[in-house]
Amino acid sequence: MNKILEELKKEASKCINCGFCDSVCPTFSASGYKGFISARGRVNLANSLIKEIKNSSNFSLNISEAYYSCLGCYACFEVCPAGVNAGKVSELGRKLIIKYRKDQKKYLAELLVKIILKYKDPLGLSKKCAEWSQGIEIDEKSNIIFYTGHMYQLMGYSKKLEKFMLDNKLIFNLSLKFLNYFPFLNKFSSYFYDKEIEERMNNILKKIFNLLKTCNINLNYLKEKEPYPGTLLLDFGYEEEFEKYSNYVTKLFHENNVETIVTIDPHTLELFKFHYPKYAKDFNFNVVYYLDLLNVSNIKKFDKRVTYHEPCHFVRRLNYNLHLKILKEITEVIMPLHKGRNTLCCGGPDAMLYPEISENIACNRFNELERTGADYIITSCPVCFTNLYKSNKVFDLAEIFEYQ
Amino acid sequence: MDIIKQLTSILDKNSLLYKKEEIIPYSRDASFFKGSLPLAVTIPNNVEELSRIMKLCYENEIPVYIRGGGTSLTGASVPFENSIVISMAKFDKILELDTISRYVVAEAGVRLENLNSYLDMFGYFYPPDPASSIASTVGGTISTNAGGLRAAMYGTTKEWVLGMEVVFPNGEITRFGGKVLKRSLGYDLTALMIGSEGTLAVITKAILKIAPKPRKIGRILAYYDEIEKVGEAVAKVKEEGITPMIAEFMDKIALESIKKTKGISYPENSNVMLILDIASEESSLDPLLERAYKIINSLNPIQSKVTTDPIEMERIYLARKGILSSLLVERESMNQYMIIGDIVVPPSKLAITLKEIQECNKNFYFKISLLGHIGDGNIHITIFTDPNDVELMKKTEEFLLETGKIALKHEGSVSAEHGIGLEKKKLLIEEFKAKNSLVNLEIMKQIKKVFDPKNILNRGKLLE
Repeated sequence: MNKILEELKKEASKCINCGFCDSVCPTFSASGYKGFISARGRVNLANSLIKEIKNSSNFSLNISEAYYSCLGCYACFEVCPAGVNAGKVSELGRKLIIKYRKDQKKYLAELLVKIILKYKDPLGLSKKCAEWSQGIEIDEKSNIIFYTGHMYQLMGYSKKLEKFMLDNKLIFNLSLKFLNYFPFLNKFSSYFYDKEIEERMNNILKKIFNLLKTCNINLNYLKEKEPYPGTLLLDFGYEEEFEKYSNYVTKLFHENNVETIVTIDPHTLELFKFHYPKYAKDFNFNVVYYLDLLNVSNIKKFDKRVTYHEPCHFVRRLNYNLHLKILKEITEVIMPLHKGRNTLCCGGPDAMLYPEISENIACNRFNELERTGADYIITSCPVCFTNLYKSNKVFDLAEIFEYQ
Repeated sequence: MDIIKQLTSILDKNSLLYKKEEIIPYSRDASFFKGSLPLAVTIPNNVEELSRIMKLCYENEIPVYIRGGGTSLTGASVPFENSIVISMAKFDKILELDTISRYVVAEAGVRLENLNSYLDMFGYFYPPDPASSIASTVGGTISTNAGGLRAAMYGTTKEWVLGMEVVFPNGEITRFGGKVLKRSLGYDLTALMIGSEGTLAVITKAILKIAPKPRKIGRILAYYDEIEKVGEAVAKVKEEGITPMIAEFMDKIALESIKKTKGISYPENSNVMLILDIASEESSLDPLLERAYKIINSLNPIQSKVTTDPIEMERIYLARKGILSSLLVERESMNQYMIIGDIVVPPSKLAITLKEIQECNKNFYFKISLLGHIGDGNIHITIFTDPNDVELMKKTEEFLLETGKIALKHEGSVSAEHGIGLEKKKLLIEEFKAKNSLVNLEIMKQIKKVFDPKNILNRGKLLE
């Protein structure tokens, strides 16, 4: 417990309890203002936990709700005068649960982890995830791979699954317990398939691929061999499993002579930039984001006024904002009240485990974006897109890009 | 517990917390005081639920602690054992805005920054701006009569409250004041609630005055070698008939911390900085600013400048507002905690008071930083100490007591804008003693009895 505990202590003990973080923590208001489902509460709980473990070398506090409900949006870190990152505190809290208090784990998380490890995809749909690529021209000899990470493809399932969970809580929880023993039954997930979202996502993938091709970049794509990157393993606190999994993915890349990985979403980009190098041996690839490869000066003007929802992972974790710069070049942009490093989370990370909280946050953000009066609401992350998709005004950035 | 069972008949399960891991966050506020775990935390959805909770607690004589943003620096919102906490978080709506009559009606849990973001859309603002405005609430700031940077021109919260709705300890709901600027109705019960720190009744919503945003603001920055010059400069500006909107000072330790955290440098040989804001109509600002700048320069600052550039002004304003955050880098270890004093003296006595505080610290050897609102004489002495070190905390308390006495000697007060809470109970008595007015304490106790005969609200604070 020592290593995780030491890290937790280092982070949480800096807290001066000013409460600034609570004012920006999306889960606080979305949970009906429960203090333990907020940034300051999570840090308070960590400090109590540290004390308890110090006295009895174990802990009795149930920390599951507090730490699994954290979105990891890092809005708290942005306003903290003492430099405490309650998001990081939650990450460490989840690692503690998985390592020492499995009784506090989440059944859904456990199930998804099992499926990821077995099928290399959270829903066991690797084959389906490659369907978008039918008819596109792939250069199998290229050492530059177009890597989807299954993120856009999985969105076709997440919304319906979330609705089912909201409407059938009891049945869902019982089925989860059952499914944990028989993970191969995950094929039932095709029931939650949303044709409209799937088609939209597949078109976005094709669009991004073709935008890159127009720039004369020869791209390989691993099709059904492409594994999911393992984001949820780390998010749910399964550190050991992530270590093994990331090594598997890295080996697969090496076997396919990969040198450059072109990512298309912020979650995967962050994972490859910051976490894979820590966990996976020989992860020495050149990781790039697709936007950096486009000939942006050649993108056509867009004749609609837009507002841009900046994904937390891009602006706060990756410090990346090329999207907004390009948008400002091609059209009129009206930014919402919460922008830049103060952007609001879309609620997406809570969609699976806390669908009600997630939905409250999404509605709140969607309303703020709509209040700008813009014709289009643009974002650049599949998770944000899906969670904010509450009207036909919502678009992925790639959808509005055309070359002159 | 029986009380929890009874509370379940009032509240839905999402509005009642009683498991240990759920209620731990409610045992602390932004002060160094560690409270106890209450029996339960309630988060009422409306005034009716709140009233029923109060009635239940009143009948069972259970102490009740009201919580707003939990930003008190004096322990005003920490609970003790066998109590119920009422979180006002769900009272988060802005109900009405009337720009002709110039008031806004906001519920108690609305955070000040959110209120001002809303008012900004209409060209108005609510002037009280404590450094915690991102998190502090309408109800909490009324309860402590909060001030802030703009108090030099706009005064503290008490100048901006027209009326409110409150719930008495027995659950009865009533309204004080109203939507009009003038009223003459006997005792001013609205005023009585301001600064009462949750000991008399629960504020649920308030009618607040608002002001149009100043058309234009100019900012003067000046660095001096001696603190007296800052006092003198502000006094001279005022003598000339110019009322600054903001007049702030900070010492070298504070300047150093801003340099480290915000990258704002200062002349090495200066010991104190003055920030002076002048607000006026577009056309009349420049001559006013020019006059004030001339006065500032007549006292030979090491460096001075004037700016009306909004970006630069914002950078300096945020640096000042966030000074306590910046000062954290000056801690010598992670165990160190900053306790923030809150004395006030007539502005004319500021220079001598600051000197005497430094003299006094020669007996204590604390690392301290002096800063505050020179426009209204409010000094925040930031003391670097360790709340886990019993001996050191005794010394800290003694030092706070001594600085309070210095303020009283100069006809000031021991508490300007943070309130009494747990921290300044002794100091409150000192103040009444010094003014030969101990009877005031007795009057306050009698008032408390009228409002709260069973002493269930914020028990152990302010007067006890």
